[in-house]
Amino acid sequence: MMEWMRASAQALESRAVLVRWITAGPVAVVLSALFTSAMPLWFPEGSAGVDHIVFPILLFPATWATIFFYAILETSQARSVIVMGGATVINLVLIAGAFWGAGA
Amino acid sequence: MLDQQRTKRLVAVHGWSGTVLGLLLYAVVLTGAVAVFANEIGHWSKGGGQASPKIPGVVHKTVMDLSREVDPSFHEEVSILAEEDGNLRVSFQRHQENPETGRTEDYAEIFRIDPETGERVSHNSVYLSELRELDRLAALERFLVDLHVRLYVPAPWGLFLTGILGLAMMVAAVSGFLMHRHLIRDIFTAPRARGLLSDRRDRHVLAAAWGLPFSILLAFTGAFFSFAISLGLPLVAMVAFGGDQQAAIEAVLGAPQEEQPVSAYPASLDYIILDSTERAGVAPRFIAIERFGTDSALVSTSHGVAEGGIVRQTLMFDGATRAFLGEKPTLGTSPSAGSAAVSIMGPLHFGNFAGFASKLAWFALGLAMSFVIATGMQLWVFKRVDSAGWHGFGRAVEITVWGLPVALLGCAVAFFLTAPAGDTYWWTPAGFVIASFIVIRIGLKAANVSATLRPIAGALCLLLPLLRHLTGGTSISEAVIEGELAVLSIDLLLVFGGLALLNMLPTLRPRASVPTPGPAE
Repeated sequence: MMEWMRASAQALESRAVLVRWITAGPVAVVLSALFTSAMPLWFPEGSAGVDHIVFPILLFPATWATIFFYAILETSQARSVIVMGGATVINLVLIAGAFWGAGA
Repeated sequence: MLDQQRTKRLVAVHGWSGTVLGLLLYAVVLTGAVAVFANEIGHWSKGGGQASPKIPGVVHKTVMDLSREVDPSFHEEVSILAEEDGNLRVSFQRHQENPETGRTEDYAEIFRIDPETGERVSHNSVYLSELRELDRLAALERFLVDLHVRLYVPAPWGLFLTGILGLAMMVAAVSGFLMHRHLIRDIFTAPRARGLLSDRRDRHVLAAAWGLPFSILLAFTGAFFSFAISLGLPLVAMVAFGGDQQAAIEAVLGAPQEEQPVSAYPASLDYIILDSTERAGVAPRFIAIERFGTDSALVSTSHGVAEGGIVRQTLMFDGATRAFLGEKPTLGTSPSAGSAAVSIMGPLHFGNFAGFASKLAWFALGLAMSFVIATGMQLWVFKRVDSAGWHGFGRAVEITVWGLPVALLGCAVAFFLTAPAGDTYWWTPAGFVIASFIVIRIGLKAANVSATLRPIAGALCLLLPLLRHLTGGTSISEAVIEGELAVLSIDLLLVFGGLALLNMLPTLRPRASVPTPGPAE
């Protein structure tokens, strides 16, 4: 298992430029869209019941920029893939849970 | 401190983000700087008008008399607007299907009233989507705003495009900040005249360093405005409201009242205007009355920024009892952090939070940002002087940098030529396209693009005040007598700008010898 992980990390590092193009490009766009979509599910509604809708929309440019610069500045491509992949999975689970809950 | 590899990546990101989208970004930022004064340009193109029109204190009788003239179905929503020409616009509207679009739209009976004499200036029955066509002289300011907001690309693609440009500007500004090792020192560095590259680089760095917080602020707020409705709301609605955007909008703005209202005599609008003026510190410019003439009538008074304030206020009153119900938040039905955050986005982007002074600062900073983008692209090309592939891009940069101002002046010329009788909403954008075409033709043939286009821009600047006057606009003497500051200021700005572009203004110091132009020129 450890050997497989080490080999995967080496494979990612050997294609660092390509991996960075993918994580800073399409992955950053998709992840920021998923994060914005899932944010109303955990962000406090506030006293007027609008904060959970307003702040995800308001912060979308900052969300994308944060993810983009993380992908650009991260030195380890393996860590970048784990962090961004993990964040994608967490947000997808939250969104799927919301759809499932609405359908049930 | 960033290591060498990271700095190298940031340099690449900074350069490519500015180069790939630089020409469009320059167009959005330059038109944005001009659009800061959109209202003033509107007054100037119309020949004057009030900068901050307000509803006079006595309107109740006028509104009640008009309400008896229209069918009661038009009482769904009644509104009163103080127009810039001093007239009052009283609208009675209902929802009905527009046979041309097939959609349910607001259809209104609109009366224009002279508030001093009470005389009716005009009466129209129109769909609100067609209302702008009635104000032919607003075509120039609306074209400038549309060009900035969506580059005249159809919705929603124009908003996507300008949103992406906002993100690109944010990337360029943040990467410029991160890779800079001597930011504070560079703020106080005067341009050196060692050579063309270092001189250009110094000017680029100096302007960028001073405008850094502003460029990040503008990029963030601009991207928010572009993406909020076109992308953000659908994304949030998809998950939180099962894709129902209307439900998301109702959650934010409040759902319409479903109870059956009972007829009631409307409260005195004159009293509400007096009360709201005392509370807001400034008289209202706009009043909306929902469910007019019923016991659930709601009166909202919208006020401009009061002295010492930053944001506009909207106050709510009971339309039957005239009781004050509270301040209407920008979003939701009660005050919240989200509503407060959204309400400051506008003033921060438009620079209208402290009147003329803040607008002038935003205009100047917008021009400085345009300069940063232009010099950034010129630097990029100059560093690749040996690569023939970049020569075409270099010429495109020069044509855009000097051609866009010429095209903007060209659309104003087309507006004034057609203002007396033509279709200004067609000719203003057409003038921009024609001027752009001519500029591109000239730019492709010119040996030195800037030296060729600069005097054309100068001549057009001098021509516009004359053309405005010849086509029936307010004369300078009339503008002085009537205190039309917008007309006077823009005429003077154009004259000084024109003289400066034609090198006819005295300089404070002798011009330094200019090194041989690069291939981009």
